[in-house]
Amino acid sequence: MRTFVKHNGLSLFFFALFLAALVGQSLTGMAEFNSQQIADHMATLNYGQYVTSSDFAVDVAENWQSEYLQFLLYIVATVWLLQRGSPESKSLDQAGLESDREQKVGRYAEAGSPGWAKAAGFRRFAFSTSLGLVMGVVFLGSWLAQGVAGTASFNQQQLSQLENPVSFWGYLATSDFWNRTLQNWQSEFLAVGSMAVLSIYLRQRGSPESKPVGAPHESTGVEG
Amino acid sequence: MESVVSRFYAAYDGHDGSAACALLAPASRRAVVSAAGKPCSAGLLDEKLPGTGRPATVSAYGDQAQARMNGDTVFVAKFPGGWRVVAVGCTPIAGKPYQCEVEAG
Repeated sequence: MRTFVKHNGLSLFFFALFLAALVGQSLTGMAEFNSQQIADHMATLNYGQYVTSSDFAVDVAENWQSEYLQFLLYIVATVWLLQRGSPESKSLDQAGLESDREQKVGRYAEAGSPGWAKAAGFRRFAFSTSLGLVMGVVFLGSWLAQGVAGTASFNQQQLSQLENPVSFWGYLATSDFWNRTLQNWQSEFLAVGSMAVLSIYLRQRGSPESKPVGAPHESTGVEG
Repeated sequence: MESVVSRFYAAYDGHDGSAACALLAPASRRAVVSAAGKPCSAGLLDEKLPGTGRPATVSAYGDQAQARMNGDTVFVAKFPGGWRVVAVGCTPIAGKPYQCEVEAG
């Protein structure tokens, strides 16, 4: 058990943080929602009703989609785009998909390589792009969920203001949808861009996300 | 919530102001009293509400809903005591909220 925890500490740590933050969001979100309902002399929601409401769903989904988009873009963009001096970048002569030998696929696969890396055709292509594909599917699914839940939440607001509800496609053309989307995207892009640049000049001893403390600022694609 | 709209109009058409007012949202009831200067049951019957029949379509999202019926659009909302009529006798205004004969002040 202790070995399992030690060997999986990173994923366990972040999954625990995720659950704690999600529960915290649901509790504080319900308190805020019900506070407004009481002020409006409307019915309040219990916990089960709130966590299945469109208000909670849209707040969760809008953050999920932006996080998965961030990682999708970072995974795909770093195939071709380089950043001199950044440990987040490959070496300056490695832009692109790289050779089969470098990627250890097909006849260059090693004994421990996954089966689909040794295979040819569709299976090798699918496995070679599986990380980006899954990130992309989760991004699109979360964005769709944001649209669906956002339509319901937006229409609830519309009706309370004696205005007509809108369709799903109508909601996708509203400023509410794009404001929710873009306010998340801008912060993700800023965080990734600043990580790529700050890691050129700054160090975090022991972190694989940083260069070794003594590595020159110019060295690219070197992780600690 | 269709039944609330139907019961509201049945009471209104039957000149039962008390029953109709009981199905109004609290703020809407207060608005009727304030505008008419008399009890809700009497003030409401002074209003010319155009709806007839039963709601043809209902759009509901969370605790808010809109019922469209012949001649009228009615807005209802869910309160601790159940669904109540928030606005009735509503006319669409392009680019703006509906203008209603009865609505919360």
